[in-house]
Amino acid sequence: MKKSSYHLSYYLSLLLVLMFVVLPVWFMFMISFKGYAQIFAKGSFWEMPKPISLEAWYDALFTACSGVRCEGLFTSFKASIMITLPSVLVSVTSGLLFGYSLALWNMRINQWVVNILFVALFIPLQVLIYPMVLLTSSIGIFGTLPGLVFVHTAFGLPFITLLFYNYFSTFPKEILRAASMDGAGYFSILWLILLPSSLPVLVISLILQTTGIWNDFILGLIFGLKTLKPVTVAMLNIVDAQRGIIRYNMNMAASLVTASVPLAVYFLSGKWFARTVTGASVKT
Amino acid sequence: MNTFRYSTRALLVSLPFVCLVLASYVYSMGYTLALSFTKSSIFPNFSVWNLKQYYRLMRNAVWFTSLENLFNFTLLYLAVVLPLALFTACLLDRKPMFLKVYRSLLLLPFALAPVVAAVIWRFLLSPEEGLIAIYRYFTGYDAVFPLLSSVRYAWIGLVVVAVWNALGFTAVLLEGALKGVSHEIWQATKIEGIHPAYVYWYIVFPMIKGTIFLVVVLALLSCVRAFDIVVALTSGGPGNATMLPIVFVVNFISSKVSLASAASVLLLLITLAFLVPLLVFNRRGQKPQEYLF
Repeated sequence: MKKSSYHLSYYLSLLLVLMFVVLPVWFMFMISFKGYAQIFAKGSFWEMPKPISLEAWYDALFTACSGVRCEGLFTSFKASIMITLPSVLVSVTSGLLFGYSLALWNMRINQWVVNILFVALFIPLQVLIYPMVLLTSSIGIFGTLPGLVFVHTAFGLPFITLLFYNYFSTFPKEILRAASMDGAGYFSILWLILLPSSLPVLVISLILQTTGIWNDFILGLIFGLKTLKPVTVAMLNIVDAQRGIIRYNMNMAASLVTASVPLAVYFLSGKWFARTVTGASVKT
Repeated sequence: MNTFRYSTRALLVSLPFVCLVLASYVYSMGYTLALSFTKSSIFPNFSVWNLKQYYRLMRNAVWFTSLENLFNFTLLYLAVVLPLALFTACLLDRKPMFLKVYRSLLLLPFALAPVVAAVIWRFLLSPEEGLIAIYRYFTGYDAVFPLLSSVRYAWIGLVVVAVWNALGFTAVLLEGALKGVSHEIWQATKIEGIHPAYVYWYIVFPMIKGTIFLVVVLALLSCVRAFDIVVALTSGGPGNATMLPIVFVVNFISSKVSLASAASVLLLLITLAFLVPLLVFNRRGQKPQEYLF
């Protein structure tokens, strides 16, 4: 076996796989910076933008039309932030408390609840939407921000709870017993002993919930009504509303606006992002 | 005595969450099941109870098309993503230079919303502008290929986008399992002079068959739940060429909810059929939970 030829074909296959994965994102990035003149001149799409233009970005943010309204993505971008922040906070805190209680405190129903949560993890939430609409409208929160936080928490709960449950189950019990000997109670065990050492699982759940809730489409479509439309829904409306000549640069800018927050999480979290994979294996 | 007090506190904290799970999953599923036996159209109407919706579903051509599409889509998706992800995982497992950079780059689509992925690929698979332009550039043919609006090939586009979205994620998951394989096996086979490809195929893959099985079941379940990507890419069309059962359910939810509920029940049965192997797998080697108190 010749070492060099082996290495060449090896790196070549790696390059091919990486190109398949990364190039579409690269094209999205590049096309979004082209001006309309360059788009309509029908050059090759892999050419660099020249001159670099922000027309498409401006239109995607402020003037793009979806149906009758022409206000771009900016409003729904703000709506997405308003939805994501409280939903992530509430759902991660809920999952933390619930997972902790289920993992360490015998309540006689633990195993039952865990089994229900495990099945719930895989149920397509589309089949639960109609009863959930009735439920949220009967308590008067359908179509409001609390309603969206409620459904995001409800549908995120199985995943986050089981993530914390699995982590806390493997925590060495001797330490916790010793702490309780010294008088630590339910909340002090969680706050003083478990939380300081569970930073990894906390970061992973924050990353996954932030990207997951931001990227959500169906819940925002149904529970957001008109005023709280998240950016994913608004982006698709803008892309679908075009007839005739399609302004691809604006579509790509709109996708980038939609992807901006998850991409920021992806780049800022660095090595943490790869660690979420094992945690998320059940989720996608 | 202490024990009793603490467990009560845990129970008090958990109670709202238990109620939430019961309401949003158990009650909702029961409600959907109940609706499927009625003739409700927009609002729930429990005046008549019969199996008529299931009968109507059995005679609905679109429903059968969607089931057939789900079967084809799942099969092709698995046949593409599994070998490709295994191959990529092996490439990563050979410890190339800049391994961490590659791993991060592979996970890029995992961060993006399925809707965003669909919009990128709507450009790349468009009749004139995207990948076909590369083909035209190199061959000089003035070819037009409307993949996504062709009844026959649209679902291939769907598979491509689904594979693109999940490939890196699946590969990194499998690479995690490959890393767990004992180093001694690699040393022994290196001394024997066996090509790594044989070692992977005959020794390492059988060792990680548990993880491979897990990946397959999770991929099956994700195909049943593939909604955003279909709606954003083709919205089930052209015609009903890429209609999937879950899109069928959502299409009917606002006009004929009893029919949508009957379809939901059948969809849940499909999900459970895939879920049972996973439950068995999960139970294997699970120790009984040891509580603190």
